[in-house]
Amino acid sequence: MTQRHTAFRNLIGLETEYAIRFRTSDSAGSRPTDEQLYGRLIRALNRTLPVVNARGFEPAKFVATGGAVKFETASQSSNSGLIEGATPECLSPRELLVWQRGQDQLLADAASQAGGSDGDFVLLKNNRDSQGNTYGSHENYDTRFATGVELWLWRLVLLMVFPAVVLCWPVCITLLVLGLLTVWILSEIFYASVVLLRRLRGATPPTRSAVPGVLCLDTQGMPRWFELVCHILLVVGFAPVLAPMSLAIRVVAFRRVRRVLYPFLISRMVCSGAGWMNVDGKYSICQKAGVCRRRMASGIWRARPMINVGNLLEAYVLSVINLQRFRSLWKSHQRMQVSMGDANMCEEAEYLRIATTRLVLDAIEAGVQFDIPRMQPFSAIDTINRGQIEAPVARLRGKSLNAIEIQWLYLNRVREYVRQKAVISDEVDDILRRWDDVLGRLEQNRDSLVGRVDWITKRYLIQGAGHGLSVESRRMIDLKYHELSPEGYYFLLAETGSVVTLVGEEERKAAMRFPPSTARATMRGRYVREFGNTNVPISVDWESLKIGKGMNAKTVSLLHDDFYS
Amino acid sequence: MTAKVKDIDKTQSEPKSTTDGSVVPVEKRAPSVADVIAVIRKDSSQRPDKYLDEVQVPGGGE
Repeated sequence: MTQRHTAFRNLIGLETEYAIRFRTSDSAGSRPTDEQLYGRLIRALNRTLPVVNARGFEPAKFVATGGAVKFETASQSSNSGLIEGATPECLSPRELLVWQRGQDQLLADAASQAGGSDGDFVLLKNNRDSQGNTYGSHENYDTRFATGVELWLWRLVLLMVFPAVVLCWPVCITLLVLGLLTVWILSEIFYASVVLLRRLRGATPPTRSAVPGVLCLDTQGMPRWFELVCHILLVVGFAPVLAPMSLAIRVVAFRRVRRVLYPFLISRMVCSGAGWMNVDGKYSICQKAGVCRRRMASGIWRARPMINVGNLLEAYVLSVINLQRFRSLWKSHQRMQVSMGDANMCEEAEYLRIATTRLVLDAIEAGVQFDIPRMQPFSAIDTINRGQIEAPVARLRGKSLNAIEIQWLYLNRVREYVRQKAVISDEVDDILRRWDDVLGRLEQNRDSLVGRVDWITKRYLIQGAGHGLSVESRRMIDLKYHELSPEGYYFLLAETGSVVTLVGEEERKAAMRFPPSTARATMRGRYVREFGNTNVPISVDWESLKIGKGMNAKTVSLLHDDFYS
Repeated sequence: MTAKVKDIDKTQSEPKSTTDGSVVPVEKRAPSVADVIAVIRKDSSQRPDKYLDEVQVPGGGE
């Protein structure tokens, strides 16, 4: 088997869900909905950069930097949501950090301009809202999906189940139409009964929105149960596809990679956790760790896994419409989405989160054998997350290991890999040096990591300013640390020179206008810039773009930096 | 992103009057961590509940 030794040749990217904070001005009337604020943000963004519609069902926009922005409806309320920014594909962790920081600034500026006279509009780059609801960052790494017999088994399943995908679409659409019609009729009967009862009692009939559970197409949005019904109908309709594919994914997908990766992902929160104060005033290291209760899942039932493989199922189901997706699933490399990781304010923490994971994945791909510590993953997550980073959470050859020691284990193995395979570069050297330094300081002088590691920096501010304050006040400090505005506490601290910055102002400005070096991001960015503010119809996705309408439309593939067979 | 330090700078950047009536401008300095802590403490005393209400995403995201 031919081994690829060079670090960073695989694509990487980040998706970040930003929370919305809108403070209504005294003179303003009602607060705009989050979706309206998203519309304003896109218009403000479009005044700075060309923007085009995304292809397919998602109401997303692609920008001239090669990245995308979309509105994500909150899970339990149609009225609330998040702004999701996705960086363009990058080839190195440092490049990705620069484009992530460019995206942060671009969206923060657009939000600031979109505020208007009715209030201040600010984004927060964090992972928990004031009630503890979770969102945040997803990391995407192109890495080895399967090899040899496993890969051919996967391809065989793809071919065998494909007729079911074709058949499931009409079945699912019929099921959805019939199901929704039934739900609508039941809702109307229920509302009519309520109105009749009120009239019989001589009272004024209520409006639709005043009756819980009644479908209502005004600004109140759809009830949560209605979305759940739609979701269940879709899952039932596609069950003949989802069941065998979920099994195939469980058996084949990233099998060697994930076995090595779990202890690393669990322990890396000591370097990249964003810190979180819960409603009881207890402080934990990682905002997302507490909600990850599966190792790998597709997210169909909203389970939050460490590794999310929902993108594979989605690509397969949609491959009937877009055969290019089927072709992508055939490859030995696929996009692996890591969900257990916090969005960071500290540049070095964000850099290390991506870079160390990329190096570990590269080492696995190069055939390096790792010593894999044995651990109870969710018990270990809870222990580390409570701040007990020196408590034993794993065992290797009879020896107990704490979170920092697990990280040392991986660092030392990656060092050997870099030396043996001669994949050293300035950037690799820089990553190894910073990783070593942070781990050393975590053991010996944790407070010296203020400005470098988020959970330590934020705890320092909460302890410094929150002494004697209520839990509410300290939770406010927690949230405001993540504000992407000049008043955000991270940026206030940065003004004092106490935080380590890796991205220069010029680099950031360039990343706010232009795509990175990868061929597909460059092509996408150029097309968006060329056609974005014209009357030519254009729609874009991550793999292709379509110019024109109807029979004369031209589809352009963006998969030119195709490294993988 | 450039931080807004008007609350911090106010005490250091205002000119001082001397006894003979002349005005001596004081050189503007970068805010210190203590200044930041003071700003955060001031913020924290002003309706933190309102701030918490403004940051809500029911059910969260993906």
